[in-house]
Amino acid sequence: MGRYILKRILWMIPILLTVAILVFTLMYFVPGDTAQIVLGSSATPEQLEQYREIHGLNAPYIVRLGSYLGSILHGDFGMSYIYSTSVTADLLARLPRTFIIALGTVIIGVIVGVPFGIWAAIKQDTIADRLILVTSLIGASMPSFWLGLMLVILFALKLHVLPAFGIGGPQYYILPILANGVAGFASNARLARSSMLEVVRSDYVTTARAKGVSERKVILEHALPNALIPIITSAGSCFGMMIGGTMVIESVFSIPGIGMYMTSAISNRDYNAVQGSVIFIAILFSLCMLIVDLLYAFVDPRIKSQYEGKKRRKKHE
Amino acid sequence: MKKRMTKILAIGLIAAMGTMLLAGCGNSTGDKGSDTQAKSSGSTSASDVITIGVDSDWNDISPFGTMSTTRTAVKYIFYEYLAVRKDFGAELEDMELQCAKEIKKVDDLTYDITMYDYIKDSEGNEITADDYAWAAMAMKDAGNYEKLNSYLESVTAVDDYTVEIKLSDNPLGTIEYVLNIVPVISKTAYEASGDKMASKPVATAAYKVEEMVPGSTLTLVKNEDYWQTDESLVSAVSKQNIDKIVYKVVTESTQMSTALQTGDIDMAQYMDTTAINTFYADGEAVSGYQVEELNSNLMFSVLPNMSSDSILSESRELREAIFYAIDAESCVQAACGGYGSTLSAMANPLSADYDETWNDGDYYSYDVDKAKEKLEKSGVDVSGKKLKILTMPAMNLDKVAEVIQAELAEIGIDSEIVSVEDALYQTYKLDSTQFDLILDIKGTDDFVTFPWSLLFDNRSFDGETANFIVDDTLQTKLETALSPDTHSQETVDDFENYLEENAYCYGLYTKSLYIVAKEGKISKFDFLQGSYVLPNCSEYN
Amino acid sequence: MSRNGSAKVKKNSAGAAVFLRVVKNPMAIVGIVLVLLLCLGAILAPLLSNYSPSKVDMPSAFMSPSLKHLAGTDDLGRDIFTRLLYGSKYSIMLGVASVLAALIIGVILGSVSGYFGGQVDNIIMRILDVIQSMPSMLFAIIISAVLGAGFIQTIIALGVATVPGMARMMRANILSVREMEYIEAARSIKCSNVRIIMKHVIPNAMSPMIVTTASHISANILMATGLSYIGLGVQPPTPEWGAMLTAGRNYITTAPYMVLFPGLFICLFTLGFNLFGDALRDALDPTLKH
Repeated sequence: MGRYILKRILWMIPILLTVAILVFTLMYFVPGDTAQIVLGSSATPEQLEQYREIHGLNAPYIVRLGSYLGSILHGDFGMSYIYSTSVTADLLARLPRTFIIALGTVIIGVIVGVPFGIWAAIKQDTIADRLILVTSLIGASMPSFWLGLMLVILFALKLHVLPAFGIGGPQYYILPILANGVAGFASNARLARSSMLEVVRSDYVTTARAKGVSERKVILEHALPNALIPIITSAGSCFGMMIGGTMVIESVFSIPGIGMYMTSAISNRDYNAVQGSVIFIAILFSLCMLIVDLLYAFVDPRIKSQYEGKKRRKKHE
Repeated sequence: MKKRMTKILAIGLIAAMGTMLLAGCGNSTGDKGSDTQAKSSGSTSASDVITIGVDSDWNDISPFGTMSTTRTAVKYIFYEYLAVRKDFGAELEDMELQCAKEIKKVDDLTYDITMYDYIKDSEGNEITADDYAWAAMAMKDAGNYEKLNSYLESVTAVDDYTVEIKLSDNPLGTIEYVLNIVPVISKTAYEASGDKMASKPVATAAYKVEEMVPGSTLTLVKNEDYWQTDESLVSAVSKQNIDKIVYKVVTESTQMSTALQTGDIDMAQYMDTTAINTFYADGEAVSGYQVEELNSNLMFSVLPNMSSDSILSESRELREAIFYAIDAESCVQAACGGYGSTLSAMANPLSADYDETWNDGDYYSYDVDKAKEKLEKSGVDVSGKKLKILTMPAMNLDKVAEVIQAELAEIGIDSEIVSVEDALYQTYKLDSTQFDLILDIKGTDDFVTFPWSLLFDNRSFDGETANFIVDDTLQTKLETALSPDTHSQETVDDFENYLEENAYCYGLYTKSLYIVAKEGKISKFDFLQGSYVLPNCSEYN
Repeated sequence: MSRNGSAKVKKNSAGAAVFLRVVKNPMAIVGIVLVLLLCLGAILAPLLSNYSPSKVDMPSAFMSPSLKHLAGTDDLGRDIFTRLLYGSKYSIMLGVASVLAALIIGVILGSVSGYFGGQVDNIIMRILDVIQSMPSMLFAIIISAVLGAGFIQTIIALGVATVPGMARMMRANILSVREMEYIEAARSIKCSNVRIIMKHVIPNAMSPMIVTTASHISANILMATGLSYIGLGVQPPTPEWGAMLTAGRNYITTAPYMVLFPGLFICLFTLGFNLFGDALRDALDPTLKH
């Protein structure tokens, strides 16, 4: 297991480097001249030239790429052209906020969504099941920023129970997490429901029931472990959606996280800031996926046995 | 047990989601401001703190950083200058002296300024003439301020506390600009900061920066060691009427409105006109709020591309046809819900040298028939051509473009909108192949000539104007209007008339700005340049 | 890790049966009806409304919903319902075109990768690894920034961001189909690779892809609204739903219908596709049936 983790972490390095190259290259082709943006429209050609010279914007693509990769390997993402601060410092300061939202979203999506889906499956065709199904369908169909605005109106403007925007205590994160989490909740609940239904109907569960095993035991010991495998796989791919969602949600709630930093950097053509944000998010996301894979291995005995070389666990008959 | 719990949870969640959907519907237009009394009573513990929501980011608070509206609104609270233009367009004798004890005009281009000999920053660094001379040149070299580049020749320290400012040319308002823009800071502190004071400037003014979260909050606290201890000499910009000032960036106008209603902020600078109805009705503040209506120093205009890349350069009549087809009134409506006024010239009426007689003339008054006539007369075949309108989403400029597009369609001119973010807009507007019509925003500092110099001075654009006009007469007339010796009502008039004669541009409208505060906190607002609240100088209950 | 959770690959002949099962499911009918209604609205927009979607009429701005203006008018006095109808075309296209483009590219990449394996597989998968190490929303944002705002640009951005998921899924399906006996049989009679892929592998691996397609369409429409929200969507005055929703957000308290109706249309459309997708998945997997 340890070797597998190490291998996966090492594998992240070339991937992230390629991400860096890709993003750098894409940003290289983004129209818009940083010097012009920073200096304003009436800057003289000489001033523009001087600015580009100082900030190394004149060097050929390959030289700029090389020096960029060199500095990010040292953990330096360069200077923000707009704020003239260190991108690394900015991102580190903003990371916790994005992380809290992402984590909260995952909790709503996985820790709340999955049990609800399973419960709906167990109670298939009851009112509760229908309600969960309909709720999750609606949840999956709403644009998150729209939901966010609705939540603000209800909880901040009408009920005065939660702050509408910004950062501060934990209460500031409730609405953003809720707005961003509903989609994850919806898709996980739906998925958990259908995988559970599939497993519940499988032969070994029927057999277990036939053998007179208690319903509780059937669900917890026979059905659940098998249903969890596809659930975890897809929960993993949900992370992407959830982290991606924070990009938009941070703007709605004026939360100075990586997402808001990046969107404003894009509109300011603050290349270093954009590249740094993307790489940061890629790191965050890759780590999430690693955890998912480990979890996956932990739940799926077949995969676990691959790493550990232990003998296969007895299959349900 | 467990089942019941989950059931309750499920029902709760569903109920929550249901209410959410209802929240949107239940909020009809009828209750504008009706829920104002239900707000958390303003008894927040710290009455010595004021929290101000600002509608855009300050971007960069370092001493030589790039200009932005919100930066201007905050920087005077923690940086001090030799002298500050507190009132809009103040001339040298009306400026508020801060670090300057005395300003002496030696000749047309040279000024000697004596500074106080006990200036120090919040970290105790003493500041001398050398620091100022260095700061001025460093700011010029940073290149973010084109006016310094064009007109500031040199700043040298004559002795420990005297600097000599030399200008290369002195068009109207230049020395005022220099004094007002170069902060007095300590070179030692600047170099010690390691990041050009980007994250934590060392203050020289009455307040210092306690914390700055880029794009989110800026917390300023009273500087207990403020250098100007002689109260009679403290400038009208440097008062310390409150202990702590917190700026919060709130870019969503809905959020700004909500935040003010819930008490998250005490004051909004500015409340967007889309949300102003909640606080301001029939020219009066809704009970529970204070509203200050200000005239913006901005001027919104539309400029035709005059290079050979655009058919608009082919005929004056065609350009006039377009201007007559545009209803400026609709533009005001679209841009700021009618909270603004149309212009009668390529000038903001706020400017000191604005000619009131312009208001009486016919300035492209909306007339579809006349527009069609002009179009026909121009002889330019516009069928099958698609004009490109360059605009940006900021300040609803894209809405204005939508209005113009629809109005041009009325006279048979087809157009498409190119709406790009600010950064790309700055790049595209220099490229004559990217647009036929451009929507432009210009602020004025003092005179009508200021935006003119930014748009039409061909010395700034390689022999062309911002919209690619090559016209020597225009340039001569502009230079005559700009020079302090020849600047007069006649020369200004002459230039404006020439613009109209050639249909080089169309000044559309200016908007009103609204500062909204919770009632009861502030007894008297104090403003900088007529548009930014000085929270440290305003008076509190 | 990229294994499809629920769908099992079925024999080709099941098409008719699947269709019957879908039609029997009331939820599916609701979904199909929703989608069809909105598509019909898009096609018949000029017949259904007397208003122009782009003509500005300032005096009639901000009119509350009434019989004259079913969904009210917006800040420029345009009939919102009319704009929604005309806008269906753009929003549906954004969702459908981007997913179909991604589907085609994804199926090709996935098939090639899955069928040939080895180095080809390795290279394709590593490229996808890189793209997938970024959330798809993030990738769409960057592509949009490179291409600029616009309808086609947004389709490309959404499409590119969707390709990796599609390709991976296709590859997994191919891997399971590849080992089936009939493929062995085709190989043994020396069918060409292209023929085997086109005739046998792809058709058999496609059914789970169809389910994915339905759910991706709704996801991409939502993603498009997100792009619009941060200013990277279509150009004004295109009445795309996400752009309308975004434009209305400033008026959410004063003219809520400007936000409510575009939001509702987006919800209904994505709901339609979700329902349809679910039904399709259930139909393709008969073990879920009683």
